[in-house]
Order: sequence, then structure tokens, then C-alpha cells
Amino acid sequence: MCLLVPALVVAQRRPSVAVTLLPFGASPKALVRVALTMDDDCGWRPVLAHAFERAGRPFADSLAHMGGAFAVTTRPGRIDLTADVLSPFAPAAIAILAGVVRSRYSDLGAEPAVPPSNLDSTAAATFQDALFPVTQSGSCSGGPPAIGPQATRVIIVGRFETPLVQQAIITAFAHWLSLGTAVPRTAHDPVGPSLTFVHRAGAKQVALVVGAPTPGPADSDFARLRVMNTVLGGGVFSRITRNIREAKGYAYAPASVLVTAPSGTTYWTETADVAANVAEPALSEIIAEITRLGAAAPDTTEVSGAERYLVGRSLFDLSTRLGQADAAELGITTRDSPPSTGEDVRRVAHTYLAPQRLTIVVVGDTLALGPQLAAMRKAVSTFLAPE
Amino acid sequence: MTRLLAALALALATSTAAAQPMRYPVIPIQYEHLPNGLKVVLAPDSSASLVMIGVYYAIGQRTEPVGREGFAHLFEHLMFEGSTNLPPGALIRLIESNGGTFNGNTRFDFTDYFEITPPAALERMLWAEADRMRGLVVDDAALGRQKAIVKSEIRLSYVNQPDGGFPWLDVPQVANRNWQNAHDFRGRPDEIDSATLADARAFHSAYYVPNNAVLVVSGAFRVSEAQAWIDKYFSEIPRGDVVRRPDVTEPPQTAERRGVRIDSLAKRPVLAVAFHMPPRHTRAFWATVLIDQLLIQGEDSWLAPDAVFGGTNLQGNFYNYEGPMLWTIAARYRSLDQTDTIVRSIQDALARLRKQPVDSTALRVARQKAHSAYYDILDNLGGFGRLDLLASFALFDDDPAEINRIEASLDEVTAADIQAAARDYLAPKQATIYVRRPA
Repeated sequence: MCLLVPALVVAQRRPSVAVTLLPFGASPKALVRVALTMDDDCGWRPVLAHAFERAGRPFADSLAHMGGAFAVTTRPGRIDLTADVLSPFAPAAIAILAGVVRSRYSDLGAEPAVPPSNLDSTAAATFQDALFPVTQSGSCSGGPPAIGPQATRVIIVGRFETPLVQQAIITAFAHWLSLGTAVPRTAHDPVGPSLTFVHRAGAKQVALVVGAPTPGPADSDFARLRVMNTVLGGGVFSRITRNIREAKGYAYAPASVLVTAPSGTTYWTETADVAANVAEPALSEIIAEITRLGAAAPDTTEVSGAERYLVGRSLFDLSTRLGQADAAELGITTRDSPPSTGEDVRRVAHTYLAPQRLTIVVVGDTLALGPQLAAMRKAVSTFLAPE
Repeated sequence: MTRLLAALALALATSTAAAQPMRYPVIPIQYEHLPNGLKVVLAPDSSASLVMIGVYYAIGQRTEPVGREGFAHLFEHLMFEGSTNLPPGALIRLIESNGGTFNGNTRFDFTDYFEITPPAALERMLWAEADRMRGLVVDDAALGRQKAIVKSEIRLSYVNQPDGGFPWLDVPQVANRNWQNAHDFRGRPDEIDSATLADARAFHSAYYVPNNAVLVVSGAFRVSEAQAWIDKYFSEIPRGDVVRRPDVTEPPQTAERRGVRIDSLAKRPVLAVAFHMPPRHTRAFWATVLIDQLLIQGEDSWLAPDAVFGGTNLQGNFYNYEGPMLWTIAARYRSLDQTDTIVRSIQDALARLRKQPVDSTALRVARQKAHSAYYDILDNLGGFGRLDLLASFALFDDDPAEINRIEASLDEVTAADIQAAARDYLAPKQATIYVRRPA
């Protein structure tokens, strides 16, 4: 398998901000991103993201005039500051985002914690907390982790004047001093399966998350995991989707993904929103599909179809400015991987989605779920110790 | 320091010198009608690495037959169930195992089906789309399966969600008088359950015919190859009966309209203030595109402090509909007693537009933003938006090249046009005010 990525223009600017310039597409727009590697065990990422959002507010009007908007997104191991503006304004957007990044420490401290507002985001946050528990030890007493040039990548994707953009980056970042080195974090060794219920009074439906940490892109099993994900839940024709959507109608848009942080930390999840009265059978079917794939190798047709789907999907993911920026940030490079066999797929499912590695989150009205709660616990415990 | 940088950035963003306009390249288009009436648009793109195939049928949620609420959407699902050479599941398997991504959408005036695939799969995708245009092969089991999925979609996306369907589904039912524009587009579960196989076959025969459709191929492909395959697979599909579009016109609105709905799942109220759009292709239409940017799009918009959102054709955009449409300003807020304040704020902003022409800076910024929003539409789904507009202009106007005139139309809008559009189309008596509140 070959992941196709257009040629990157990459430069290193003192004191080590990485720069990626990607001429791309026909629209006269440029996506400007300042990407910060931000692995931490102390829960600082959302706090810093809110500080950045606040620091960006004075520039909201300007960026809107430029045909863009200021966005701060947090994902595993990273915080991204992004503005997608009309091409002539790319240099100005670079100056604005640099100003926001460099000002954030002055506005830290009074940021309120914003709880997730809906079932899906509650389920995702609970899953993240379970997989990456925040450390309560004294190592968290020293303030937020360092943000500096060495953990920063500036990415420009779209149509832009290269000399003007390069000069803007040099002006904005050349005198930014290093503040230290961010410490990567990794998922804890999973002990499970962990089954967490979150009560949301009155919820008419249930959000399900089933997932586990897996090896990342540097591991030789990663390509096989991508195929496994496609077979299991990643495509519309995947096993879980055919089962709980097409055959049983429990869920409208179930999906599984592999999520990777810049540090390489990676996990797999299957998510599904289902009506409350079918929460237990839907969870049981998801677990059953995981079990089946780990027990019996899929045939060649299914595996080769999944591999071809992945090739097309990779091209599709790279067909937007945002997708190009994500690929640049995660360091996806052109690389050949040997084709996977059915046995490869079975083995990685069996190994990395083994019962003791799974984290399961159920968000809904647990009082209304009634006997389904016990049935879910039983389904999970049966999975742990199959006959 | 921050204040200084912010002031400099704002000055730059509004200066005439900074933004020497760059425009989207002219899109090359080959357009023809096959003898059976199928409209074919070919738009190669040398910068693309994927090819996109779209088949658009001129039957949408607004034009579905009276008494068949939600049937256009149910039928969209059925089109994935099976055709002459593709048994249930085979189409999806074919697309995905060829590296493709796909979907179908039921919109106001059309139902679309599309695939985005590596170029090598183009012939197979054309063959598959022709196969399902030629004939649907479904049984009771397939119909039952898709009824369950559609009802699940309705339940999960609308019924069980606070604010579900707001405002795109609610507001047309209050603002419009013609059943075609005012019925529940998602359908009721009992009506969905009542659909029969005979209904499905009749629907396909009536609407899924080449003379009621447009085929677009966009992206990375060779025109000569595509033409040969289209001729091979589509030209023999027989023309259907003439499809008569129902009357979708709306009577002029002469007094403010109001509606209220109680949402037992909601924790806070939402409101919408909606106006009927000027007819497409008029100066007032293009002026409203800029008014949308001035008032509600982006952090710099006049109504941004009221946390408004919305736009025109909330299932699409300004360019992919035909017939009556609403421009909707919506807001989520804390308590019901703020309702009148927010409505007044919206009406005051519109009165300001009616009272005097906007200044040259405001006009320039609105135009800048409208161009940017248009590029975002084209780039949607990696360029699918481009295909979508080509199909829409072919379907509605028999003129896909309209896509290459959009930017010029935006540039021609004057401050006087904006004032006239606000006066003629956005007066208080032309408003529909709709509130959805917690129990």
C-alpha cells in the first residue's frame, strides 16, 4: 500500500520552528495553521486552548474580514490554531496566529472548565479520561507544559505568494525563544475491560464508545491495523455497520477510526448513537463483531477490498486544505507497506482489541436503561472470559 | 501590544491595497444532452487526484407528491438496495472496494447520488449509476430494511435531539403556504410504513428517468474516455414520460407570520427570523448574498453579538436550489424573556440597511467574504461542491456555465442594490418569527 502525499516544501527556521508550505488547489485561499505538540498528563491542554481562544478574540473581526475565522482545536497530543483566509491575507494571518501563540501565558489561570454539552462529546471525553487518566501526582504542580519553537510547526496550504509567506513566518517567529521541551505522554497499560456508565437524565438515546490503545504509525502493525479498522467498522460496508445499521437498524451512523497524535500515541474507537431501548443489543453486537474478527481470518476478497478502500480514502483525505495540513502535522509520508493477509487482520484484532484492553463508555439515562445495565455488564464479562 | 496588532490587522483587512482580488480559475465545461434527455456535464480538473461522479434527479423533498411526506428521502435510501446487476449490498461493496467514497442526499429540488473515487474506477462507477437508473430491483425485505433505517435516522437525528431539525425543517412549515414548501420533509413514521413496493416502482418510473436527470463527471479524468463510457452505458436507457414539476410558487407575504413550538428535550429557547429570498438571477438576489455576509456570517457581522447563525437554503447554499427559499437568521439564547430583544436587534439591523446605503468599506468587506464563502462551497468535500453547482445549474437552468459567472455577479452588487433588496424583501411584514422553547 502506498500513501500518496504531494511534495512538501519544508524548511527549518531558527530557533527551530518547523515550516511546511504546500501549494495546493485552485481556490484563492490559504489555510494557515500553527500546530503545537502538546502531550501532557496533567490536563493542561484544554486550559491552554481556552487561553488561546481568548487571546484570539481581539483578532476575530480582522480574520472574518479576510474571509476566514480563528479556530482552536484540541486533539490527542496537539493544539491547532487555524485560520483559512483569502490568499492575499496569508501573511497577515501568520502574524496574528503568532501573536496569539506568544501571548497565551499572560492570560492563563482563570479559564473555566467547560463541561461537554451533548451525549457524543460526553462519551468522547469520558473515553479520553479513561484511556489517558490525568496524573494526580506532584509532577503536575509545576505549571503548564512548555510551548516553544521546538514543539511548533507552521503549516500553510493553498494558494499563496511563497516569498511573502516565508518573510511573514521569519518576522513572526524568528525571535521566539525556546521555553523547554514538552514531555510526550502515552496511554497507560490498559487493565480491563473498563465499562463506564455516565448518567444523563432524560436522554432518549445512548452514546456508545468502545476502544483501545494501539501501536502508532511507526509500528509495523499499523498498516494492518488500518485494514483491520476498515474491515471492522471503518467503511459503510464494514462488519459492524452492516450489522447494527443495515441488518438491525440500531444505529444510523456508527463508525470506527484510528486516532493518532503527533507523538505516535494511537487508539482505536467504535462510536454509535442508538435508541435507548436497543443500547444493550447494540453494544453486544459490537463486541461480538470484535470477537469474530479476532477468532477467524477474513477472506482475501474482504481484505483486498479494504486495502483498495484505504488507498482511495487516503487520497480523499488529502483532497482538502485541512486534510493536507493534518497530514503534514502528523508527518504522513509516502511509504510502501506490504499487503495484509486475512491472518494479519485477525491477529491484530485479537491482539490489540483483546478484552483486557478495551475501554467501554455508555452515556445515557441509566435509570431508564434499567435491566439493560446488568445485561451490558454481563455481555462485557462474558467477552472477558469466553467459554 | 495585542491592541496595536489588532488595530493593524483590522486596517490591513479593510484596505483596498491589501486584497488585490484573486479569482477561481475558469472551470472548463463540456455540456450536452443525450438523445434520451440525459444532461451530461464534463468538467476535468488538472489539479485533482480523484474523479467525482454525480447523478442528480429533479425530484426533491419539496417536489414529492402530495400525501407522500418523506417519500423522496425513503426512496433515496432504496436506491442503494439493488438494481438489475447489483444485488443488495453489491453497490456499496463495489464503490468501497474500488477506493471510493459515496453518499446520497435528498434536498429541496433534487436527490443526488455521488461517488468520489480514484480515476481507474470511473468506468465501473458510470456502469453502476446507469444500472440503477435503468431499473430498481428491490423486494419487501429491502423496503422494510430501509424503512427501519429511515425511521432510525428520524428518531436519532430529530425526534430525540434537542432542537432537532431546527431551523431547516421547522421554519419552512411556518413561513410557507404552499404544501410543496410547507410539509414535513422528513415524513412521519406511519406514512413511511405505508409505502409499498408498487409505490417504489412507480416512483422510480416517474422520476428516475434520464430526461429528469443530469450526470456530472468532475476531477481527474479524460474527457474522450468518459464520453465513450457514458454513451455506452447511459444512451440506451429509455426516455421516460415527461416529468411535470408541481407548482411550488408562494403567494406574496403581506403580514408578519409567527409560530411557536414546545420542545420537551430543550434546555433553552431558539428563535428564527426568516424572509423569502428574491428570485434567483436578479440583482436583489445577489445583493442578499452580500447582506447575509454583512449581517450574520462571521465574527465581524453586525449581528454577531447576538450569537446568530443561519443563511439561505440551510441544507445547501445560495446556488443549489430552484423556487421559493428562505433566508433565515437563527439564535440560541438563555431565556424566553430575551426573545423580543433579539428580534428587535435583528429588525434594527435590517432597518439600518433600508435607511441608507452601506459605506464602501462595508461593501468591499462583504464582497470579500462572499467570494471566500463561495470558494468554501466549491471546495466542500475536496471539490464535490463544484460538481454540486454544475449539476444544479444544468438541472435548473440548462446552463452549467453559470458557475463561471458567479464571481462577476458578486462584484456587480452596489450599495444601492443592497438598500433596495432590504427595502423590497426584508421589511417587517415579510418576516416569519418562529420560537422553539423548552417545556
